[in-house]
Amino acid sequence: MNPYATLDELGAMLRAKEFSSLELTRFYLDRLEKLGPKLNAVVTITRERAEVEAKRADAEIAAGRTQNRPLLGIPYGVKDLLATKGIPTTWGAEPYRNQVFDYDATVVNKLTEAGAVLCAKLAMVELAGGFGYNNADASFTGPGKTPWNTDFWSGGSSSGPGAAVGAALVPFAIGSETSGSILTPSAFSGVTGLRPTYGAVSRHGAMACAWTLDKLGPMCRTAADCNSVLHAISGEDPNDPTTIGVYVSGRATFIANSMMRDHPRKLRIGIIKGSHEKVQKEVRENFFRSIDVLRGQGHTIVEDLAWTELPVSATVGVIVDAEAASAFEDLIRSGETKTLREANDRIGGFEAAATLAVDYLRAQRIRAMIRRELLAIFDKVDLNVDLIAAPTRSTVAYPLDRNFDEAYKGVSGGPSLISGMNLAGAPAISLPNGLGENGLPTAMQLIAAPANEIALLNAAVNFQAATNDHKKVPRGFE
Amino acid sequence: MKTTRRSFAKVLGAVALVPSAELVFPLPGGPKKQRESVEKLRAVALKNGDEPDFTFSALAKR
Repeated sequence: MNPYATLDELGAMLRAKEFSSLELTRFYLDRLEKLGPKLNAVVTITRERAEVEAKRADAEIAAGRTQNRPLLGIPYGVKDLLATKGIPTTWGAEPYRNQVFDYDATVVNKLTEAGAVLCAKLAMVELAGGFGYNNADASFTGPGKTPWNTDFWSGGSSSGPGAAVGAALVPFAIGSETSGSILTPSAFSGVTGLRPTYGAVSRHGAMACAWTLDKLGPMCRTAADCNSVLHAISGEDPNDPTTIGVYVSGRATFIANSMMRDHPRKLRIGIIKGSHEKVQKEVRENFFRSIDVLRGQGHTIVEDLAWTELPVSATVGVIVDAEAASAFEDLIRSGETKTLREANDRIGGFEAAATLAVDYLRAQRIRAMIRRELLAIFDKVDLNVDLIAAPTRSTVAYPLDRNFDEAYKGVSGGPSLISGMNLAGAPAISLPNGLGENGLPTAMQLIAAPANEIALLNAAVNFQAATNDHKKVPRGFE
Repeated sequence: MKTTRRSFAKVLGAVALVPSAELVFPLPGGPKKQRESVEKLRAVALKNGDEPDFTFSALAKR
């Protein structure tokens, strides 16, 4: 078995009965057990539940109930902030080590309905980084390590999904993003990760970090895989009112991978001024190589688009401070924050709790201004831009032995596209596009206007049809 | 005597000519980054009509 096979490939082999879902599931369970500890990627392996779900999938396949079910019999993992009935859900944090819910999160329910097989609860930065960590060692399971070089971080806060998909311990995983927590580990671990439109995917049963920013999304081998998983997990859920009206059932919101490949769209793709200048040399070179591929596919590249002058990062910072302090008020009041792993996290909650209401509301007022300015990039008739392209991160993964703010002092980065587009609720996908310093992956992000995942995924699927960077395998994890 | 919000407000009101912003809107005493964030936000000029979008919908009319 090739652990790095795509979902479409695995599905075809299951339907052809080359192996059963139970055999496939045991194959990945063994990889999770054997390789997971090397990367600090796994919190709980759900072998018992997985084998039950795999046997159920095999019965469905035997009965021929396979049409339009690309995830049937496919193993997966979830970031350990999604509730799973009877299985610990730790939020990556010591105070919640023994927390057990009596229900499954909506996303897990939807994947169960799709016939996917839950194999693992995957590691994460404690409390999804809501208290301002500054070091990779910020989880009770230890620092997530990228399979490309285990002296470096797998990225956060979805550190386990990044490492686990990067090393093919699971074919796909579900991560979450408040401001960068899907895109960053996708870039640092060499996987393809999709941050959907805010409200596209129900957060019911997910730990809240910042309600007005939190999103769940797929982290996979390919953009086509992300498309298949998004189709299964998106849609309205009365348990999460933010989903109402975003991905309405019955509306055309999904195009099959084969259709995307057969009908590549010619889009206008913008580049934000300053987004590729203050980045590492290999990050810039790989980005322009990717732009050449896009141009060669018939897309029109529009350069030097203006970015907002408003304080994007500061706005996200104050919103996350206030909302996380509220979400974890009980924990802060209890004093149990002292058992958190990372030094900043142990005190960050108290500082965040001192955020004034007027400052929080000021941040939300400025956010509305930022959102208007950023989404206007897609709306301006003279620009008529469908997507924005940029390096996902200005550097490769951070070394484990240094604080983040000391890791790459010479690289200042550019406009904060990740923070800004999270404030705007816009979707983005991170695509591996080569290697940089220390053999670590680099990546390009494509960003679309809210609810325009179809254009985003069309461009991403066809970009990967012309490139091989997403197919590279980290040494030692073949 | 217990200081209530009301009595605190009265004191501030009585010294309204004295710049009292630091009393009413203290900057966070925590890490430099947090303090700088709040300072940056407070430097943005807001006017009547600059409202927060409490729908938080990514699809709200813009």
